[in-house]
Amino acid sequence: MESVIALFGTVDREPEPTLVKQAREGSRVAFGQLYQQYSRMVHGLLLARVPHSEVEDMVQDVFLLALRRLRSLRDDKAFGGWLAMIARNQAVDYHRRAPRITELKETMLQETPPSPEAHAVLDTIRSLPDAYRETLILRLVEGLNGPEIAEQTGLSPDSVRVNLHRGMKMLREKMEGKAAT
Amino acid sequence: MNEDYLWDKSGEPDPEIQRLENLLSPLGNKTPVLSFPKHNRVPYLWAIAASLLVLAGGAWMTWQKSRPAWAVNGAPATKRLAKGETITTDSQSHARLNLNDVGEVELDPNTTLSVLAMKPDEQRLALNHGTIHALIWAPPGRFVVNTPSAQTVDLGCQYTLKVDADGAGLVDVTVGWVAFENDGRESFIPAGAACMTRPGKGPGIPYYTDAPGELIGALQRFDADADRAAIAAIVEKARPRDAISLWHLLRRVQPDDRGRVYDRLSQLIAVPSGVTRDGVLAGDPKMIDSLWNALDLGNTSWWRMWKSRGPK
Repeated sequence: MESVIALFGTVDREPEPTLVKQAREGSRVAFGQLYQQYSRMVHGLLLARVPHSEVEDMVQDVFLLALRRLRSLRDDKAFGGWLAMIARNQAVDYHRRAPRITELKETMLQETPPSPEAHAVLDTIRSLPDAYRETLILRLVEGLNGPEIAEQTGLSPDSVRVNLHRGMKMLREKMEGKAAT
Repeated sequence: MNEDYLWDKSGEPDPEIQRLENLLSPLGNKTPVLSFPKHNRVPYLWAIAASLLVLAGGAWMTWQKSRPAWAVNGAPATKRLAKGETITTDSQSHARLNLNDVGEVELDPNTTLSVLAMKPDEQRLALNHGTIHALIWAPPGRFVVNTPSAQTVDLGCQYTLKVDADGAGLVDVTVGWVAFENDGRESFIPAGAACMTRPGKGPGIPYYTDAPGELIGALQRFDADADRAAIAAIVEKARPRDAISLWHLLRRVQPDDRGRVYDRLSQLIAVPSGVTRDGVLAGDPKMIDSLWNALDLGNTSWWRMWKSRGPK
């Protein structure tokens, strides 16, 4: 049997161990750099689960929570997957405590709001299975490419590739189905 | 669709993907910097508090804290769960276990979970009964949950595992992969699929949860009693996506039934060159591996590698 790199699950990587170490030691510059590198990933994972108007504040919440918990992260190489977990949990917590009335936020009043078609496509992506919607949002909304998605989320490249391929296929089928009706 | 462009934006841009990118990019992240609250000195306060705790605590407390343990939230009077310890939720309570390098496990009400091993390369729990929701970011193969009839090996994923009063288990995978394993019988369950395991029989055949009800029912009859009559329904109702169920079935039916399962499978997937009907019917492991590779779910080599380095 030929040797093949892990295809399905997570793999060991070294995302930014030095930055993580520096951030743990109190460097906000280092943590800011981690934010710049990973904020699109966190934004995308949240956008896959919560309303668009809530995501911006929640991205900040996720990073501040990560900052507080950083001292308990023992394997710096696991930072990306660990951060993704915090983001997913924040989304779960959001739905647990979601108020019936949404506070009006500045982010709802953008000068050039996304088109209704964009929201419609986003809703269609959100209707896909978790693995596909996360990957598609990271690729199509956040602009990450496949290798970047794998590196930042801790998923294996081939798992991301399969998710992109199948997710795009399902998205196209759903969009064609809606267009036909 | 241009697969290269979808994967890494190389090659000729795909017009449909570009249109979606342009349409959706305004919804993306627009906040370039993190806003630190001015009063946010939590890390330093934690350090001070931790120091005071160590100074104030006795040797016993220090030893206790140094033991590897899952942090617990939600269960009264339980804050840490170390090897050999058990947590039980009552009919009203939930609990969440966290181990930073491994993942999180949430317990539903009426669940009993024990810690069997806490090693760098193996975190092993035992779900005696109840329901857990696991979100794991440890490398594949390191997080294992024993049930009364199979062990559940995480392969980088998110899943729900239930064990009923009779010891039967059901795993439902949301992200990634899970392997069910018992006494040499294996089932590989991808995202969107579920699989049962029964005492005395071990892991059943995985199925996608959106599969036709008749197919799922027939698979469960086969799992429960090796019901040969169910094979006809499985073969008839299987969709192309259900080839994964047929692949597992192929390895479990009697030789007399293997032909009709293979024939249906070969209609649903592109049989790789070098794979012959006679070879598969004879149980040739390389040919069966090749059929797996044709499911478009990844390569069997990975399983072999995982098995060679996973927990023993």
